[in-house]
Amino acid sequence: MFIIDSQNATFQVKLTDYSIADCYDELFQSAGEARNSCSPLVEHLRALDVGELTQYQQAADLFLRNSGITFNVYGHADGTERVWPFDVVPRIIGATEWSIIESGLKQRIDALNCFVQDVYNDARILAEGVVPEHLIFSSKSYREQCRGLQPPHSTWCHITGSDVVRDANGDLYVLEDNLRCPSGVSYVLTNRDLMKRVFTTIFRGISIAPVEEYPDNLLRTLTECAPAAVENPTVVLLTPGVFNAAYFEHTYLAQQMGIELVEGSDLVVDGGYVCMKTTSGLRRVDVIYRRIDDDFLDPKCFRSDSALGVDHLMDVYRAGNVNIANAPGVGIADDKAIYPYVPDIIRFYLGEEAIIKNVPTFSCAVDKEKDHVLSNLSNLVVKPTNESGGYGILMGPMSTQQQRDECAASIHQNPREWIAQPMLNLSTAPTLVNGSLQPRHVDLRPFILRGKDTYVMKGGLTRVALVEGSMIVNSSQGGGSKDTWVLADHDCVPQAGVQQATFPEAPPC
Amino acid sequence: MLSRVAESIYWMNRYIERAENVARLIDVNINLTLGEQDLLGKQWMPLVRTTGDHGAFESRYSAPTPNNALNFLLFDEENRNSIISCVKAARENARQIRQAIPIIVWEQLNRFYHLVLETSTQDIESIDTQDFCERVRLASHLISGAEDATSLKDQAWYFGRLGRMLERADYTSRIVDIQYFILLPENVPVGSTLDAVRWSALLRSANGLMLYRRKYGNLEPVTVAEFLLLDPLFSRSTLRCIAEAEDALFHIVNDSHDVAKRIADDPMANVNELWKAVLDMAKLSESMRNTDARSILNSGIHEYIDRIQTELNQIGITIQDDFFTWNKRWSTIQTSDHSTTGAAKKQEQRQRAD
Repeated sequence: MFIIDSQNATFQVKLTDYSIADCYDELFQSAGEARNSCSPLVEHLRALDVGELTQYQQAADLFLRNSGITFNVYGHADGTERVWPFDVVPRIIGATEWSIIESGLKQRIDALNCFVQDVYNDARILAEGVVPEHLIFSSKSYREQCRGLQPPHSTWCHITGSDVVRDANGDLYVLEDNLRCPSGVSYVLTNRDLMKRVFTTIFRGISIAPVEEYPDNLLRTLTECAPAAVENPTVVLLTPGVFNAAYFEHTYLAQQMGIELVEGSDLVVDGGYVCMKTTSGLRRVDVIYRRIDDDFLDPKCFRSDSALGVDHLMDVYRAGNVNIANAPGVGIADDKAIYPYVPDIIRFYLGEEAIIKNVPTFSCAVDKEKDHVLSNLSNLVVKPTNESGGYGILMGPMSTQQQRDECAASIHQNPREWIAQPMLNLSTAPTLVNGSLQPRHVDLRPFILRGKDTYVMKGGLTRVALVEGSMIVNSSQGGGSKDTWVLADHDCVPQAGVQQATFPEAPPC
Repeated sequence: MLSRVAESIYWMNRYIERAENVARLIDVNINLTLGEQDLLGKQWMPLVRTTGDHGAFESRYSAPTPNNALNFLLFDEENRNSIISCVKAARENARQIRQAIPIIVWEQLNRFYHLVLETSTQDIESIDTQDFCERVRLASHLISGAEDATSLKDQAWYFGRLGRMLERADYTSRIVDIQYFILLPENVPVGSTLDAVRWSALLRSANGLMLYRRKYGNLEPVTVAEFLLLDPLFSRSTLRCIAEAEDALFHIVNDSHDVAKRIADDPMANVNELWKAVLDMAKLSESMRNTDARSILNSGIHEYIDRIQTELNQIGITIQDDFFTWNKRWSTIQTSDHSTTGAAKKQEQRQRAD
């Protein structure tokens, strides 16, 4: 590990000293030896002195603060708004490896989408016993109200953010699929923008895939799924409001797409359509990109005490006069009790083997597996099946006896709501911590859009656990983020010899 | 545009303008009090009075010392019109509509917020107040410049303009009211020798001294009042601001689909009647154009300004009804009555974070 030596002014980032813990490192294959795809970046880093790197970090932090790029943390009365944590050292994914991730994610989302469509319609997969029926009907995310629905293009999962991790051997896994309201994509875009502003030199001589087309593709995905008869659909983004953790993202995406950001109280159902209340009357809305949970969407259909939703929205939806993305009810496919069956789901609908592996998972809904989990709590990561944001998770190896006892009691009480996985030793990436580069564990959340076609954003959000040894990357729990570079497999060099128009000049005196 | 967004833009601009105005007041007052040690105590209370919050001040501060007054006007978060409160409110409004304002405007407002927040943590004695007030003023100018240079000149822009202009109209009338009360006590006949320092300070707080001199030359109570209240060209005069607000309203109304529809339905319809605010504003500006400073001073400047402020307040309420409080206008549609409290709503907004 590398320590700043203030005595030595010409001191440079000695990456040879970067020590690799007992796991896979994203940049280095062994101490001091960069992976092939990462060597240009490592060369750039070596040419810097540590003071410079710290200066870039400070410039980045200042930019984030001035731009108000923030997220909200729950459970604090004051100062809930925090500046987005960012690390200036990018994470790199090679072109070949990326193409595997990309096809694996496409495959997964296509299959999960078929699954949701099937569950709410023909239920073939249940009839054939591939996924146990009782897991569906006992799921908190199952919505009886969605039975028989056929959204445009049969698309339920318009926007997905799957979490991809790497274990100590370097193998990739999908840790979970987030199909309801996955967040983080705004930070992918702002991270790249930020890097291009404050750390321009680091891009020199490196070709990376752009991420900037995402808002365009998102808007296209949303307009494509408008009710069939609508010619120029009006798309809005429905937010719970300014106190939501991802509020920054909601405003950011609405701004990037040029659509209205609405709250439930801005919308009203009138004459069989959803309308927004404008300064000049009611204006019809055709597609709602919702960032609120099913439960809150429509007090007349789901939770009657919701103040965030729109009365009778689901009636309009069912009548096909508005589309909602992601579709209500889609959460059934990312219930963690369903997760162990995803490879079977892929096989069932697509006749293919999963390209990216699932993490071995014990489902407490199955008695034998539950017993195994209960007797191995201190080795496992135990997760509730319907929570998010890293809340409610037991990290077995780091847990206290009391935590394990409480967890065991919860499992006994409602086994269906719990799964367990082995503790993965997540890969690391060099991260600037107190003036030195240190290995910190990372994951990756790529984003997948499914309209007429399926598109995987090249890259994704790399989250990094800033605490040494920690595997918890959630920003709500002290995680940071990195710009993620998917290397382009060819260099895009502009063609030489194109005639340039010249600027007019004043005549000589 | 969404009524809620329009309302936030309007208030964002009002609060930024208010912060700027408070900074102007303080800056000029500091300038006035330098070299007048004996009068320090007397000099600060009128300032607090101008903001209309002297009741709140007196209930919480022992004496109108410079530091107390400065703290109250700059950084007291319980004073809803202090600079810090205004900037926080402006930012909070902006934060709720970030998607609807130019990025640069948000960034500058955000920097403004951090500037005020950081300065507020310092000891009041150690703050270079004049420098700070200058920065506040520049921040406000920067934001309005950025708005001008980067906005679509659509309804959103005009709602912002409307907020700015109404706030400025109100502010200028306030300083005239208070300063005349001090500078021109009843027992002093109009036309007696003037305290040039104070009268020029009054003009300076509206950035108007040089402009006044160019137009009128010597300082006279009547022409100073005329310039600040009724000048049709001076950008901070109350009438000018009201005229600009009127213009903004005109654009808002003409940009409205309701109007297009109404005219299509009935070409003879008087569209201005659709919006009460338009009529009220027209009446106010008309009456101001038809008066002059001498008759205002003769019949009581305080009463006159009081009436203007009441009408401005009323116009503010009408704007609220016409454009923001949606249900009043389109009341045919029943929306569900969510009686959920703010806190419960806040709790609910904090849902899943995938």
